[in-house]
Amino acid sequence: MTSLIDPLLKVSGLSCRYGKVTALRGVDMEVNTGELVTIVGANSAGKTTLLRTLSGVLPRYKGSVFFAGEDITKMPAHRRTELGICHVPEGRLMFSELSVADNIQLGAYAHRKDVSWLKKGSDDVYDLFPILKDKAADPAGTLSGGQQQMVAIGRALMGRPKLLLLDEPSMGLAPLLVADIFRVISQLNKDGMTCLMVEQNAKAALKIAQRGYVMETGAITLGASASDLLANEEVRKAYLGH
Amino acid sequence: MSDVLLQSLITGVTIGSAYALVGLGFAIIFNVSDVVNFAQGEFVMVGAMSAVSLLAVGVPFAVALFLALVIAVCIGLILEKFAIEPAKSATVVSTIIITIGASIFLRGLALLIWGKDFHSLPAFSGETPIHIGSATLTPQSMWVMGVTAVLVFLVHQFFNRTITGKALLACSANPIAASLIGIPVKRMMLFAYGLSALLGGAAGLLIAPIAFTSYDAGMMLGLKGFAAAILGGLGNPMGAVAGGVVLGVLESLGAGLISSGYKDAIAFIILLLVLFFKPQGFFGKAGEERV
Ligand SMILES: Nc1ncnc2c1ncn2[C@@H]1O[C@H](COP(=O)(O)OP(=O)(O)OP(=O)(O)O)[C@@H](O)[C@H]1O
Ligand SMILES: [Mg+2]
Repeated sequence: MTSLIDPLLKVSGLSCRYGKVTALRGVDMEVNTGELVTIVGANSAGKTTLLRTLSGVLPRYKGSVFFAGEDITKMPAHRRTELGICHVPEGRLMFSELSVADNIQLGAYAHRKDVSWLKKGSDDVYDLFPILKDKAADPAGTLSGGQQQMVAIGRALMGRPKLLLLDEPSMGLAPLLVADIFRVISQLNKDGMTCLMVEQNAKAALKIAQRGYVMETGAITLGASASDLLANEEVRKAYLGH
Repeated sequence: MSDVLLQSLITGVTIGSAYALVGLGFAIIFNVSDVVNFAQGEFVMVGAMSAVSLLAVGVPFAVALFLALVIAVCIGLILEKFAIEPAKSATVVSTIIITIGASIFLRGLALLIWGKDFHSLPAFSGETPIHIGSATLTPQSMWVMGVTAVLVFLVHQFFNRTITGKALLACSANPIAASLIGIPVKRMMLFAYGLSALLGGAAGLLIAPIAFTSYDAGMMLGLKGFAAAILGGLGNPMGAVAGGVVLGVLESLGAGLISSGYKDAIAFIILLLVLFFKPQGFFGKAGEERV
């Protein structure tokens, strides 16, 4: 019951360093169940670092992360996946030499003993992205950027996410494809998926999100509803181009 | 086909099977970590020498073989856990140097335990050969080829049919993406070393009745296995197997047709030629972007 009232994800005072370089300085933020929250910010603001720290592939330096009421600050990455934190990484990070089907199946690694899910989950992914069905046997590295992004999303969905982290899903895609990808993400959210999405394409992201944060040089400087951020004068100037 | 040729072929495929298993071990570790594990040959030696010692103290034959494999696997796990993993931030080249150090250490340890004597194991099931023309095929040769074929088949199925096998490949293709989907990359690395050590140990047991073994037997076999893996295109497990068999046959043809003095030289001439003219190997598609 508590998880319905508490935020699904609660980040407090999170700091992270690469050697001597501080990339996150005391990040506070939260995501409630069912929300689509977006983080906008310039290059090198620390957005990717934040998501990777949430996934557990980067160690944090200070602060805490709670997920569904549980302290996961020191939990290794593979345990967090088991809890339902799934990550669509920046740059897609395909297993290039493996087939599309293998990439998608591997997304269910945490549920590999659940044979019926392996079948149903990949059927769902192919329903969501029918084009991947024709490419299932191709090495993932041979796909176009947009198709790879679909594989990356499909792979994360196979992990049965309770929280889906998306790192710049529109990066490097043609405008038409960008719209497609945002439509899919918005639909996933409407169907009940909680999402935390990092985007440089702030306008499109804020249009489908309910809330947003602005990140600057490793810290959250502003948090508000998506419509407030879209109307905010400074946000418009800095991130929306007018 | 002349009988000399046939005999060379039989001998070559037999010894080539051992190279294939060692080469397969090289390929697996290279595949998951881009590291060439030069301690691979020591797994072969540890397997064979442990079996010799266990037999000497009266352990039944089959049990001794099994325990020797367990010991080889343990050495592989210990190597990963205490030499490779602590150096996780080291570059690939430094890690390779660590494996060379580990192999020298293991050889030294073997010298202390077993001395410099040569040993051999009894054949698994008798010595009565089958005659094919005037060529002979010993039961041990059949064991070597048969067990190698089974192991290679199982490894192939493992990497192509099981999610754990594919997860191992995923660790090498993209370790960060692998962690992000919940693959425990460190544990998989441990697994890869264990599997490679198992294959090396098996090679050692299989050929110990044919070739003498001693504390330093791993060095030559390791280099031959490495040549096999290079011939097949590093990182291509089935290429390494083919490379091993080809190497064994060429070696024994060379020994039969020219002079047995050239036997070891042949492997290294081939190794150098391949590295020089075709560094991606003959069967390697994965090799091209790695080398
Ligand atoms: N592996 C690393 N080692 C050292 N410094 C790093 C590393 N990765 C990122 N950084 C630094 O940390 C800071 C934050 O980087 P991060 O990639 O998190 O930013 P970002 O907001 O995702 O940027 P972008 O919009 O370009 O993706 C940057 O100053 C970057 O140079
Ligand atoms: Mg980034």
